[in-house]
Amino acid sequence: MKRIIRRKLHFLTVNYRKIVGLTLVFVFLTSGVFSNMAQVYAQQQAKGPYLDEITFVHYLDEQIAAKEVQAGNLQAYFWRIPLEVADQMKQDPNVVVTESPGGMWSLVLNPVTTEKFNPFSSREVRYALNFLIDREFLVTDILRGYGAAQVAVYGIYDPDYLVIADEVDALGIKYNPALANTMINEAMTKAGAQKVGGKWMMGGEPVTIKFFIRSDDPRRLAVGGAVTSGLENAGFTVEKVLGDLTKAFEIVYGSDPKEAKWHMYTEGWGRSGFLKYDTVVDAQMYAPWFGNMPGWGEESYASYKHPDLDDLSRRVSTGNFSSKAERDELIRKVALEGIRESVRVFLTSQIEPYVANKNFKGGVNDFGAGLKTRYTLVNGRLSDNQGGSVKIGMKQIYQGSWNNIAGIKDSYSQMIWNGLNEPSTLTNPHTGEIIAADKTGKIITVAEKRNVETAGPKGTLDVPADALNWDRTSQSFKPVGSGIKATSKITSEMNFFNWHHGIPMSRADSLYGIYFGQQWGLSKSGEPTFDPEYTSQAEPGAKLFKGVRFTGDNKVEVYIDYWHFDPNYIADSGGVGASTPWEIDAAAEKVVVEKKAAFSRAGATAAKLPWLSMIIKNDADLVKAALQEMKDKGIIPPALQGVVTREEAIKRYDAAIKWINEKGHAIISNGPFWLVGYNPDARTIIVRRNTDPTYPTALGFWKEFEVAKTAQIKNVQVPATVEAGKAAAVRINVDIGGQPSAEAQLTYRIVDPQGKTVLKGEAKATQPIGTYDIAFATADTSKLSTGSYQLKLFAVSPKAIKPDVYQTSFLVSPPIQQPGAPRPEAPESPLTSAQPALGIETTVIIGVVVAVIVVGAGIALFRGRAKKV
Amino acid sequence: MGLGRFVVTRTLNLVLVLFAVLFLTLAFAGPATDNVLKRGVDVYVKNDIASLCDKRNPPSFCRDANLIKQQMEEIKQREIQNLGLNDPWWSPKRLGYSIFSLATLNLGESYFLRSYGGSNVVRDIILEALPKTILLFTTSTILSLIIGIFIGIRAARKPGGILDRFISTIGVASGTLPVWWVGIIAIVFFSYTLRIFPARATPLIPPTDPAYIPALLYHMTLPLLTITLLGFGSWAYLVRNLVIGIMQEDYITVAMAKGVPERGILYGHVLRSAAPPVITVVVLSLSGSLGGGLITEAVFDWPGMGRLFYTAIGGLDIPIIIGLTYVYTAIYLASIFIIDLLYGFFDPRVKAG
Repeated sequence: MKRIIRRKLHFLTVNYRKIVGLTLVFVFLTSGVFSNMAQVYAQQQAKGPYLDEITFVHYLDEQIAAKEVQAGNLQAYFWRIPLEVADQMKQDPNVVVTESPGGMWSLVLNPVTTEKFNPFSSREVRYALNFLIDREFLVTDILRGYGAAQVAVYGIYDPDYLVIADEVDALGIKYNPALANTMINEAMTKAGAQKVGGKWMMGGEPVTIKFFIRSDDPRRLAVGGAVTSGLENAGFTVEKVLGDLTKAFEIVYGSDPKEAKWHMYTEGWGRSGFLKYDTVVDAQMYAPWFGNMPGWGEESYASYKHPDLDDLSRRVSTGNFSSKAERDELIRKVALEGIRESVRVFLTSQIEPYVANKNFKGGVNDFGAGLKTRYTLVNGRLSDNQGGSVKIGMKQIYQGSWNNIAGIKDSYSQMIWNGLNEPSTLTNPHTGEIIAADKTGKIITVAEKRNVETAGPKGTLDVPADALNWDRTSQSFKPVGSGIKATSKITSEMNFFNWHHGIPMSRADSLYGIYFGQQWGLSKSGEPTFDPEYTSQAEPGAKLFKGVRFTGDNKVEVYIDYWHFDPNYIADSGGVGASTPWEIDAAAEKVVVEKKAAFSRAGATAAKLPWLSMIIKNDADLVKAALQEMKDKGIIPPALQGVVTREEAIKRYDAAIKWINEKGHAIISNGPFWLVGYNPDARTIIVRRNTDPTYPTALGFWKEFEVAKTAQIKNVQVPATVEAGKAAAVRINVDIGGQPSAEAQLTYRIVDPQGKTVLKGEAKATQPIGTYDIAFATADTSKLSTGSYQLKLFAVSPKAIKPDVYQTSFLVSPPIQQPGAPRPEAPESPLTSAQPALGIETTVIIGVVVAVIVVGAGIALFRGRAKKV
Repeated sequence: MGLGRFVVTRTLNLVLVLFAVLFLTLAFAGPATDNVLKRGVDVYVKNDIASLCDKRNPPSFCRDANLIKQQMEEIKQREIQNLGLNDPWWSPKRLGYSIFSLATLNLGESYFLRSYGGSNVVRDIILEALPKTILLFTTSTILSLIIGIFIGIRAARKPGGILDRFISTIGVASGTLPVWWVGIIAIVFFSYTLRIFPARATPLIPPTDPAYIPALLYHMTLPLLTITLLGFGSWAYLVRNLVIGIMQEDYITVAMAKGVPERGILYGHVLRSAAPPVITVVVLSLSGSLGGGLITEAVFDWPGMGRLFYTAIGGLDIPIIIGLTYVYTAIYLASIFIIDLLYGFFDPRVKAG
């Protein structure tokens, strides 16, 4: 034993350096490995947004804000910057300029017949303007390239653009003053006008167009100038009326169109939403019923009328169709008829530049909201690790009250609020699809997350008798009983985690939301739970709700009278999650019912009360006082009787009171950030990362939206000449998100010189990945006659709806004869058919015969003469 | 006329002028704006409904064209009622109520604008902007006139000297340079090139923070310096011209001959004679400073009265326009009154009675 120990000791003493060295190396290596593993593990486990804190700072002036971003005093500015400044910023490596879809410009024309001749009462003259206006000039010179020509109501960033693109393109609308003049000449002459000295005259007077141009917008002023130029070249006399919006209210919107105070007006539109299925925009822009066409819905005014457009657009708005195909057909008809009518002529869609400092990564370019989207708040970062604080500039910081019933109406407060709550569904920023996160952390459609059963559009399902609905009479939730029907049933699983104040969410929060919608949505004027603004908007929805049933496994079934051809929309309408804890809603309701404040601006103005804004200390104190009273009296709201115990309620009240005491506001939600506070003097709002361990969304969950994976046509191989009647092929290479992809939808059109589509179809994906072929069979090319044709390609990615458009031309030649092939008959020339003529060969034969006869006769004569001598 | 009687008569005159101005403002604003406001409501309601229906989970009424129209009409009528536009502007309910309210300093509620503190009460909105304007514009006016008077007097002591010529040049130049343009250059140079001062004139910390006052002073240094440096030249030039003129007077020559020290002549005789016109300009400048400066405030991002007025006019927020007109008119009339009294003090020839 001693010998063994001695031997071991000897080994150790002799080799101790090696042992120590090896040990150190081992520790060094494994520490790195373990540290990485720990970091990876920590990253994988990390939840919430990257940033610790965001300070939203009010910067009214965009140029100063852009300079602040450049200097690093701001990390981003959530408003578009002037185009000239954007060009400068692009030269600076410290600044990243993001280009987001923006609004659009249009001209609205007065189409009413007036006492003095109105050229725009002629549909043909109106339509001709589409060819008279150089949209490309407006884009390149006035918008400095930040935009695109737009002919119909849907622009290139709108999901429904793809539905109408083909047919709109087939109209061949482009700048063609010669064609425009031809159309105008015909129409004006038909109307009885005469062109004298290059100017249109009617009844001895010049045909004058009163053009109201918005002079408060320098770019629209320039557009007005460009359009005026075109009109004057076409022979019209233009009387420019310059003014701002207030003057436009008076002259354009405030006068009867038949008074002819205006004939044309430069309109500008902002971008309000990004929806896969837009329901009202075509009605808003083309249909008289909406009240946005000349006459403006005023009964006493002479108005533009179009029953077909009214009918078609109403069907789109009200969902009066049974499939997507039917809907697509409707909006195509509306768009095409709207263009032909040209009472509203669209000019351009704008691209709005946003700036961020190069250190601020992870911004998401939402096709609806641009950079100022919830995804940017959650995904924005200074490094790949969690941490750091940023300052984001805002054009406005406080524009309206903060309450989640009928407040948070302006886009600025909505933007910040979106970072404070955790919706169960969101909109894909690049496709408009409704999405959600599944349990494994994957992004799925909401129809995949929730189970939808529907009997729509015409049928109904039975609502279980034990499903609950709020009964206003007994002021309690009651089983609906037998015999109740609904169109659809949506089953979803509720995901409970903690509110910002640390209290876990529960079904009580959802129930309170259902109660509120039913109670306040169905109230009548004079009742304590009536709000003029909220009730009128909530009432139709409250009537559609048929019942709710909570099953034991955290699942909830919602029964509603709603149908949509897209099951995602049905699924989305069945959500019952809450964005604020029930005790806050109950306390706010108590404040309003006791007439200390109102939920809506209309309610506040009508009752001469403050508009409840829980971000402001005074109003938060009102809510706190209500909570205190509810706690002192042990009040449980009627809607939650039997659902929460007294102890649970008091725990909630205590948590909310503590929150208001500490933070000075009553904004409590469950999102990635919580509100630190609003400082009116500094004009800042600060939010901090939600570090609650129950918060569900993993760090970096929305990273895939950082780069919009749009399709890009990289290479097109089209033959310069195609022989008619012979097969031909075109090969195209398409990337999605910078990588070759077989997922793009690539459609094509062949357009003849007259602008008519001769062939169309879809290219097939082939190998290698990213390659697509269009094969034209002989039957296809036989349809082409000799001449020049255009090939137009539209490539769309399933992950980002903005299409890439490419066009090129090629020649079509007549069929070429191969050697040995039967000689085809020569086509008859006009000359051949008009005067019977000999063929070439016959002529040659006759000529040879004649020559032989002449030569023979000559020889015979010569020989005869020689004999005589 | 005794002083007391003068004060009472003058006060009554000024109050009558004040209400006459208010009546005229309401009379001009009323008919012109009512129609425009109603049209504006119509347009905004339609755009708001379109935006509302353009959302992912729109209200259910968006799915029924008739309900959409119904909503539009309901909201429009409600807004018109809330804005008080369902009665004509000359009706006792509107005109009479407005005049009475203003007389009792109830400026009403704004149509659209809100204070940063969340209030729509016109008085609150104005009282939020007014101290900020006083802090910047009135302070810079006071600094300009103090520096200007001091330098003007020094320049007048040696007419034609270097200081005098310098002041003459500065006086003319500063009067022609727009403050907002110089402000932009100052921001570019001092905030982004030298990085000495911040571009934003208000600090990011709340007033309850102990470091707020030093931070505020630091942030407002650049706009304060810009406005003061562009303002003192005119003052100096004015005072210089006045003093030089008065120095030519016979009584000054006599005082010099009597051996009165130069300091005594300047401050005892010259300034006293120069006081009335200077006081007039000082008081009017101080009251004028309360109006702020729209473009200057925009450049320096200073939330003052100038920007408030511009925003109210642009949005046709009539209660705020009326409220601001009332405040400005009252301040102006008060200034006139003060000038009248001070004139009597400085120039015995114009004392009442």
